[in-house]
Amino acid sequence: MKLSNVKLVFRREMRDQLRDRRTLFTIGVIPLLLYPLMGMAMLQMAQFMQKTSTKILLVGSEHIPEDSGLVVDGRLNEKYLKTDDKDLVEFETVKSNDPWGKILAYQPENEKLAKQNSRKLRRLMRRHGYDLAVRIVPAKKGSDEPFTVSIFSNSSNDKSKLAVARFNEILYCWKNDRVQEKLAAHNLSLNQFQSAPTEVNDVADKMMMRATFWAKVLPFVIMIWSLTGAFYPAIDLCAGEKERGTLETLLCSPAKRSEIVVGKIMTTMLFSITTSVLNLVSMAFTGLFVAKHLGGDANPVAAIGPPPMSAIFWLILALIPISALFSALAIAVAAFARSSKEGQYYLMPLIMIAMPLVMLPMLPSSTLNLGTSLIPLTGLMLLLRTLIEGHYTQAIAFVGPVTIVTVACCWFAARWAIGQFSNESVLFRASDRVGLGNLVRHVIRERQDTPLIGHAIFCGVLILVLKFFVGLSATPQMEWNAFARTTVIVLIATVAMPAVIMALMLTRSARKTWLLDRLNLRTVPLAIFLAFCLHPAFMILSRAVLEVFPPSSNLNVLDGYLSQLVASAPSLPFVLLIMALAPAVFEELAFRGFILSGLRHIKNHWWPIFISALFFGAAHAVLQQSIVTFFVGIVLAMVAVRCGSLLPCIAYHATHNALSIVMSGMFPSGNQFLPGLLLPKTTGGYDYAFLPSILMISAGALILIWMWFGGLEKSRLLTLDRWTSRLSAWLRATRVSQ
Amino acid sequence: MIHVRQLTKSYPDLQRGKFVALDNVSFDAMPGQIYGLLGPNGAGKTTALRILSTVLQPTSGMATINGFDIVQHAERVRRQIGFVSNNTAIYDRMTGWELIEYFGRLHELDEDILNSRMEAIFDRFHMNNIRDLLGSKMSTGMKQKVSIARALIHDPPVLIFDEATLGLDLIVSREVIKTIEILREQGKCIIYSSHIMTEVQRMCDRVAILVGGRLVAEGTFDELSDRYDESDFEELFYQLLLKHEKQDELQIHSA
Repeated sequence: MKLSNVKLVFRREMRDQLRDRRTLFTIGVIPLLLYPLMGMAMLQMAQFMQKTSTKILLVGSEHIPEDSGLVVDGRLNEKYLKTDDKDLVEFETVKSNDPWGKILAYQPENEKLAKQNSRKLRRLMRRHGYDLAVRIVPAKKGSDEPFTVSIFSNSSNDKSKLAVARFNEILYCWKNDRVQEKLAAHNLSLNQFQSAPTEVNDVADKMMMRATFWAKVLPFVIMIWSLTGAFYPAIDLCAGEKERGTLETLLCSPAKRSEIVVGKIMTTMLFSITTSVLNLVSMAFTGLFVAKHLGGDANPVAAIGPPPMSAIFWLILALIPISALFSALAIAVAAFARSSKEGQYYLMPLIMIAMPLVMLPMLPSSTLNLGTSLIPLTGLMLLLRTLIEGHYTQAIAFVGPVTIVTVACCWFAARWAIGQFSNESVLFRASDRVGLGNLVRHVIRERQDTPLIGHAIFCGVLILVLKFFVGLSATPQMEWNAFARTTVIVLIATVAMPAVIMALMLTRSARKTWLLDRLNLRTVPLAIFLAFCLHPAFMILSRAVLEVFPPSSNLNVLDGYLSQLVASAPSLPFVLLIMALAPAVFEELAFRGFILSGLRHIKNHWWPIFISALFFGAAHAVLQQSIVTFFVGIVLAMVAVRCGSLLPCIAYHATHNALSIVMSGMFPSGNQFLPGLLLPKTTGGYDYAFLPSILMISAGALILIWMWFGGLEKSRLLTLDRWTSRLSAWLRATRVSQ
Repeated sequence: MIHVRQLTKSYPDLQRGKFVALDNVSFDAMPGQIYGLLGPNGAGKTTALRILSTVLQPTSGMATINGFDIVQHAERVRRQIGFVSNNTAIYDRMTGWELIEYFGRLHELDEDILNSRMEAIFDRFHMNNIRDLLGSKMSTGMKQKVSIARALIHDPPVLIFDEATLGLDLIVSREVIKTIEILREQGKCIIYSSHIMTEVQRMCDRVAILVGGRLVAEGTFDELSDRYDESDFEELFYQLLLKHEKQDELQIHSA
């Protein structure tokens, strides 16, 4: 890649964008004008909000004794109202023999009638403009209370809720007064009955409070604006260029696709950063101005003050990777679009994907730890929050993981964007007439021996969706036989069925798709030995994952429930059949059979392995389990690619599952299966002893490396099988000719 | 200079299964020659030229330009060619001068050479009046002149013109044709695609006639007249079109 060409493309795109009035308006003018306009509107709105008056109907005020002090001249005593509310509450008082008294007194017990009555009452209150109706009922004889109060409000109406709050405030103040009066009559004070007085000492200084407040707001704002700021220039630089016909002009030039894409990403990035900064500045100024105008320092928002300078520094620093990531993603996505209009449609899915990752750090419970730091965007947001809050020691510990994840995401996104610009079906995509008939005809016509890439991805997504719905709807079984039955049915329905049906419908050779055309029986013992050797490595990984992402209490409950079920099973072989062999068979058919076979049309060794493992990992609903199974999936896919057969994969998978069951300690006498290799059982199950595990992992790694670099093909394991099949074919042919 | 052998390009198509835009096309074009690609709309001319300019990759077959393979040495091929098409537009928000300068720099021309070439080209094409005019303010003729200037800035040995006079008025299209003829005299190898018979007949030294992605006839005008016993080239072209369209229809029915 020539930097001079990248610079040229970047400078041209920048000049082009800066000469576009629409872009300048979106990037510069909108942020600078929008927020002041919004602030002005807020001030106007605030006037209305402050003057919301409420109308309260009081029925049966004659039951309130005059000497109680609550009523003066037949009206509620206004001294109990807050000063600000005095002009905003309008009371209408009627006697209990008024028609309203009868209406409010009618309270049917029948649910249907009660609903009808509520509807009627709601209508009547709306018609007469009452936000709240209050019925005073005389107290029963012998009761301490002078009267009881029934409140009729509409909780779906904000004004009604405000009226309830105001009325309750009056009652509370009145009751408080009465209690104090009665206590005073006996020379007592209310303070004597209160618990030990609490003195609250806030050790946070004003600067810290400011930092904490802005640390929650600013990363979110930056994230949203950098995404939006990246997307619009990206649409113009990709779809716009396609539309105007200038993209082909550029593609004919000596600049490489990668140079063009990097130049465009840099332009988009600069616009993304500029939009974010301008929005931030404009929002901060307007916000502070509005807050001050609303109430000066007395207003809590105004009291917070502007963000500290260190926050601005960290935000600008974080903006660089955030914008780089969003710019690369936006360019890659916008390359799909044939026109600027079509490009607009792609913005929403991108926001929908990014939003949960951006929202997660806003939750009060989410903190920066190794687990969260490894989540793209979320980790960066949390690191930014920690830095703005000034917790540098905590932040420094996670700078490494966050940087690695962010750089990896940026690199993948940039590679994707470059890939898009090298893909002529993306650049010169023509619209096809899509119809079910056409689609079915196309699928049947284009059938190959193994599934296409699209089929494989569709199968993976279908399995995930089925697993999600079936997982939610399946009722937990408390008895082993029912559990075993449900497990097998769910596996068949969600994993095996899609792969089997799609292989039969979409491919010419289901056997070739499921890697069953070559049995390679001799590799089966090797796969079992490999699974045995690598199992300690996965145990270590599993423990590490549980350290990073500690299991929730629900997960522990589920674990306990599973242990109880397994303990109630008739025998270990039965457990292994249901929990080790059945998943191995069905999952291998789907993930290494259908999905990997389809993905192998990608002209790269690693992508099919990586993507199939990703689906395999995602299909295991629990995050901790998904991470480990992703790596198991990598090994299984490598075995499938090298052995060219599904049998060793099933053997490996079943062995791995069986060892995991034994190691989990669900069976009390687990160590009898692997004597001398295990440490004594703990609450977390068994662990491999140090020396055996080192030896096993080393042997497993050597086998895997040997296998991957073609050792298997050169060995007699495969050649013998090949000779055997040739011999049997020859014998069959001889028999036929005879 | 340009050697094309069994060049094929097909696209997946929902309705037809596979759409063959270019089917086993072979031809050679030499320096100092204008090679015409003639065919009706959708014959595969633009696809062939896009493949030669390395914007598209062939499904099968090969082609070399000035000795460089279009797939293996795509970047070098792009340095050997100047491509003008009605699809290769100019930037609306760049002046004529800026655009030519931009492409000159992408071709890594030295500052002095670039400036002298730009001056020469702007003089030759009478473009000094549009030096500082933005692309969006230019007429179609002006835009086409800038496009040609852009393709010539690095003085490539091969020039590809795809329907270069489409939508131009008579005066501008004559000017374009005159420019192309001057370039031939300078020894450039030129591929010129069009569906306008008179233009092709006037300019081209050899022609290849494409119908439905297939090359149905190739040679000089005299060779073609002798082969098909028809002196009127427009009539010859029409007869060839009819013949091959009928063949295509029969093939579709039998399928």
